[in-house]
Amino acid sequence: MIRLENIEQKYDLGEQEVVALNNISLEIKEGEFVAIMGPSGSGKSTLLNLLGILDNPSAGKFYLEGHDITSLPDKEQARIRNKHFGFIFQSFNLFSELSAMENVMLPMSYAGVSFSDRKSRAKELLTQMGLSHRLNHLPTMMSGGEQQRVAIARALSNKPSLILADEPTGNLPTAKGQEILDILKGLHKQGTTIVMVTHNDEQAQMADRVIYMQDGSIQDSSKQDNKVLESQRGE
Amino acid sequence: MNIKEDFILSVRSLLASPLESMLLVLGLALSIGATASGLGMFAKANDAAKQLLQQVEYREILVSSKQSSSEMNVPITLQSTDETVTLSVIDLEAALLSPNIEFAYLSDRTRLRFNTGNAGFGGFRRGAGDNNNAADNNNRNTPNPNPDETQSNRQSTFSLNETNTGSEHGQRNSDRQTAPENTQGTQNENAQNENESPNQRFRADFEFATTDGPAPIIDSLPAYEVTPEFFSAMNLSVQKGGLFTRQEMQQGAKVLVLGSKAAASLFEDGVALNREVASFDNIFSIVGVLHETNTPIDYNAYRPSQVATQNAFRFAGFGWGAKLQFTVHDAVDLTQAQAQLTQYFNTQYGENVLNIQVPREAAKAASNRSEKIAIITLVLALSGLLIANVNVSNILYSRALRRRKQVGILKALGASKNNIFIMFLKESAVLLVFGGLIGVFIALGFSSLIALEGQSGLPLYAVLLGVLMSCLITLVFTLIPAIQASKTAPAIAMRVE
Ligand SMILES: Nc1ncnc2c1ncn2[C@@H]1O[C@H](COP(=O)(O)OP(=O)(O)OP(=O)(O)O)[C@@H](O)[C@H]1O
Ligand SMILES: [Mg+2]
Repeated sequence: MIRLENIEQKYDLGEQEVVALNNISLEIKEGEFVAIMGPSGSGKSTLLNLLGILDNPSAGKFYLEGHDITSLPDKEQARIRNKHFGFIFQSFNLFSELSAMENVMLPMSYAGVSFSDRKSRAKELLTQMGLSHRLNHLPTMMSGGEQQRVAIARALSNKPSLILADEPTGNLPTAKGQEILDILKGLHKQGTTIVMVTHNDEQAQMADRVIYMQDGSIQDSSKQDNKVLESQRGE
Repeated sequence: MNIKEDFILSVRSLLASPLESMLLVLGLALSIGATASGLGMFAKANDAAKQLLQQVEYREILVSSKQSSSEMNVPITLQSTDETVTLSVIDLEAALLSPNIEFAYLSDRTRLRFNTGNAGFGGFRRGAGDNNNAADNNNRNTPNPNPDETQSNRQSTFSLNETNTGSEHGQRNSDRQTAPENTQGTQNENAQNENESPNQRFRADFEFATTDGPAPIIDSLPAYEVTPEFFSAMNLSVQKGGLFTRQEMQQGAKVLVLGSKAAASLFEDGVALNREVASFDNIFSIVGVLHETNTPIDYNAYRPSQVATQNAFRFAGFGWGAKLQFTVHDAVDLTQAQAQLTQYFNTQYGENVLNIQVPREAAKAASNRSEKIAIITLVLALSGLLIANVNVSNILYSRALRRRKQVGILKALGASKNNIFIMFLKESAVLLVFGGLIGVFIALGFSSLIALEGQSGLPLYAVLLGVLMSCLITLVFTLIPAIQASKTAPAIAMRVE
């Protein structure tokens, strides 16, 4: 589904140049559940943003279904994000001015879905997430777990084929985190491709594959198992 | 109903910072209001100047005896009347000199005082006092095209009565003002002076002429002694009756043509045509009523010029208020016509004896000045618009910066640059709609302030044009922050807290 070739991501901070990603080559297959792990500042979020076309790489090739998407115009990239990708963030990133319903309806309006269809789909999704009693609540009136479930409903609104989740349980207590993970597992079972950044080994264990990152590079697969053991020992 | 959620987000974001939003709306309202008012005033000044200069009065050349216009505030008796030229109908033949002159007429402003039925000394005395008040009222109610003339004309009426009693002039006037109801002794004296109209100078006693019909209910009317060409020059026609002819004028016919308002107010029943009205010992027949013009003409009475008649009781110096008025067809010919007339009258009467004026020149200077003031007002208003817009743009820009995270999330959810740009533009439009509405009210408020002063308000088309124009300019200024907002990188959503 996605193939990265020799991706580099540099940030120019005036005099200093930060290399966030260094020569990354990577393939993500349709229907895979990939976990990305690594220490803070190793470039996990940068990689995820790149996968979600929220950022264009400084160098390298990015193929989505065989098409090079780095050279696509903004409008096309936005359309892909809207229709095919779903984002879940650590800090939920819900709009505090909008109700749960409106938050979920918003991405569908960019896809040109009619108001009534948006409304019924949002209601359906929120009900699936067990939030039928929270439809018109503002995010600020909800718990963290509830907010993240609204965010998931929002990510699912246009039936994406790829879910990009950056530490989705990072701001949640363990029990609530498990709920979120169960939802993701369910989605994976239905065939959705999932790429998830996590610090939690238990969560990483559920993935088909774990990518370890260090200083902007992906560690050798052979070393991966050692890494797991290392970090387990470290905790 | 298909309001998109990002628009709801915009509106709620605006409501979330009410103070800032109110300041934005207020700034826009004031700048839009100022621009609209400025443009309105500009248009008004332009229209007024154009309309004013289109009036017949400003295609005229006035020829008058020098004294009548220069020393108007000096009592007539203090002036030397030796050099006074009596302008007459014969002088109108000067019009033949220039093919550009369309009409020529003679006009002399006086006042017709009527016998309201209070005959006798006492009655007349009271009547005279009332006349004075009536005259004042009348002047206030009827805008006079030549305001500075009023004084001189009123004086000229008095002066007829006072030619031989000049030394008492001051005293009489003060009597009149301080003690209208006086003791018998002074009253007699006063009455005698009053009565000494030229027509009565050989009569020992005084009595009003009376008519068989009803008495008028007003004491006096502003009146002009004109030659019949006046009506053609001013493009006046009768709605009832007819105009007087040159022949009637030469025969000294005692006829009146009334303006529509004057005709309606003269008698209790509002009917004036074919009635008679007494003024001193003359009895005038009302032969015509003019169409309404919505100008001071409506309030005036017109009688044949007496300068033309040989048997009218006249003496040298009486015609000092009379003006020859020459109308050209096209205003561009004024200068040439004036030069020709000046030459003619200079050879006829000598240099510097007559005043040959072109009212258009003064009017043009005045309208040029008010036009300049209007331009300055407009420039000030536009500066206000610019300053407000720079500030509004600045506030919107900082708003866009503060909302980078919001924009980042929107982009992650599928908003294109275009979507974001339009979203911010719609926000500005919401602010503009409110600012514009209040701005219209501000402009209309100014307009009604002007309207209160007896003028028409600001032209609505100009006000609306101003609103539209300033809204468009503001929209251009809000493009910058909108473009800036749309450029926000979507990855910022992950980083900004
Ligand atoms: N927009 C940016 N400008 C400058 N430097 C950046 C930017 N984005 C990332 N970086 C740098 O790139 C490196 C990788 O950052 P990234 O956020 O990807 O790390 P991470 O692995 O997600 O860390 P964490 O586990 O703390 O979330 C860091 O050194 C960070 O400072
Ligand atoms: Mg991160």
